[in-house]
Amino acid sequence: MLFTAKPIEIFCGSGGVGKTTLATARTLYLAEYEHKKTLLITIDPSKRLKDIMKIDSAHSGETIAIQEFGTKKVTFDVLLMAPEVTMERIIQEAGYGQLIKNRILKILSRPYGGMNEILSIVELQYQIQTGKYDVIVLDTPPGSHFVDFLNSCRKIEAFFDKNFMDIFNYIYQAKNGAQPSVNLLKKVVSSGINKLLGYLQTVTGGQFISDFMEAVSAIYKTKNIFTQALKLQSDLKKRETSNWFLVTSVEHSKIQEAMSLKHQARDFFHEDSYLVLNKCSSQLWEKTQISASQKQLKKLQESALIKEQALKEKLKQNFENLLEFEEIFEKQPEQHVIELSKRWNELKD
Amino acid sequence: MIKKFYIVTGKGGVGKSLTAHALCLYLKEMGYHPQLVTFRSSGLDQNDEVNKYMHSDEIDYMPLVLAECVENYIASRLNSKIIAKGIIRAPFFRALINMIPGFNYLIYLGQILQTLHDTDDEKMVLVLDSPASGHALTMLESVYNFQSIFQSGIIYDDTTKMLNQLNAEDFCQVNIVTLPSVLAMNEALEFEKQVAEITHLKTKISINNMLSKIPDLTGDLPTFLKKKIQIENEVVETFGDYPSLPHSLETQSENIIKELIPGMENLV
Repeated sequence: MLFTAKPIEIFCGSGGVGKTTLATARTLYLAEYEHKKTLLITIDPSKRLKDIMKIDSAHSGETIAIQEFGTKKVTFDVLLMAPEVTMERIIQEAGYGQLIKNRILKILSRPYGGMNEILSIVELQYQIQTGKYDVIVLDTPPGSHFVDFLNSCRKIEAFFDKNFMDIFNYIYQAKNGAQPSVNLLKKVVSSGINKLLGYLQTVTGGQFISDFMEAVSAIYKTKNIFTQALKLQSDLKKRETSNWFLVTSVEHSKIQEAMSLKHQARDFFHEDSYLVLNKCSSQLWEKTQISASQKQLKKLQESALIKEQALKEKLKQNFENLLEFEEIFEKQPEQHVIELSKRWNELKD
Repeated sequence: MIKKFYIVTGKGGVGKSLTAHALCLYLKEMGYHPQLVTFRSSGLDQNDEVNKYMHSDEIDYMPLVLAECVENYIASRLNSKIIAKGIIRAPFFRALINMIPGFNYLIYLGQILQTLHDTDDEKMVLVLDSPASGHALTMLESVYNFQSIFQSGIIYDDTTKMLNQLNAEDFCQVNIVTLPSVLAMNEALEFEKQVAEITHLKTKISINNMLSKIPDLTGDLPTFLKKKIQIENEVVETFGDYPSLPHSLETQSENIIKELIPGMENLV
């Protein structure tokens, strides 16, 4: 199977299957063997990448230039996604620095606040536009967070939907004493907003509504940056722009999750979408000689072979491009990555 | 001391669901009335039913559906099911809820705590098969986030009550399931630290899938296996001795769960 590096290479999959190590290995391979200017971004809030790269989380949100990896002299850039840094840059660039203090915006842009995925799309677009990189390798968050990532383009669209924004503007104007236009008012009243808002205030308290409106209007004021990021959505779907790697591992037999992710990402995947099966061990087991007295070892071998065999059969029914990576036995994450990068090189040849 | 509420979490693929199932069966053997709580969707408009292929007839499941939970909550607070239905159907409200991240988790957690609060059954224990650690943290944080987002009103009062209930002594424990590797252990420890930063909850780390714990695995082992076991031993040496469970030789999940049950006494 022949591989061509693409401007964006995306790694997705359920947790614990080795996305981050495989993505790092891919980056190392691209930088070392193909001499590409490569940026590796992790948008997984658990940020395993910082352990592998030995980066302090204080540097989250900055692009860090790597000069060596393990014993290798190799250069590439690494970015640990920090939603709060992206949000701050957006608001500063739009000239609304004072809005950074809005407490709802602050909370929403914390790493676990939930705007991580939307802001990641914005950040990715920003990094592409710097024009500094041949390839950007993206390590996405596990499972359904990845789906949020895919959906975040849609969420951005829904957010800036005209009717939806009209309603917010109406409430915002009404709160600030302005007289909203009659047409709009009719629309709003017919959609039952006033009544709803009354109930909502009982539940949420009045201060919330007002802070929330400010947060929404702050995001609205920066909408160009968000809507520009929508272009990315169509780029991700193009074969010439992206390679998709859906990662799963023998160890966890997460076939259902892989299939569900494939289904969720069906609008994005194209011919250059690969299923990466990590931590294969059947070749190692097949070579193993076991004496008749080693009953437990025999059982272990059998269970390992049965599991892997069943998994591969199912995967072959559902995925056209299957890439196998043998399990690596290295304690240190760095060494682990170096071993995996050799496998990426084999796949090219 | 058996807690009322166990949150079983850890990074993906460590065996959270298997552990949560085994924990339920263990509690049942001990004479408690456990229920296994699962989340069925992550948003109001999304029909992304979480893949729960694991099923045991011996376990009582409590699947939570977001739309129902939100409706129940609003109905109880505004004393009207009709108004609640109306609110939940309003496009404005749906958009609002989908936009406020973490709100779904607040609602789920609220439903769990309400159930434990309302029950007359002293033996009731809820075991949450929690989404991966990042999500679990979003869930725990959501209570604090929403308390500071709202500052007044019904939700604010309710989050305050939730925190009191959650942080009460011997009420809740977070079980962090992990694997014998450097990355997985680092993540578990980091998660434990993050939980301690935002809550007062007790945490317990346990290591799944230990090759070295397989009974009677003797004789000359193949090189790769020796290396794997050696890495395991080094990890235990580096990180200390946590309760651990053997790698299962079974291939079917029901059988793996059965194997895990005896080890659960160290996890409660």
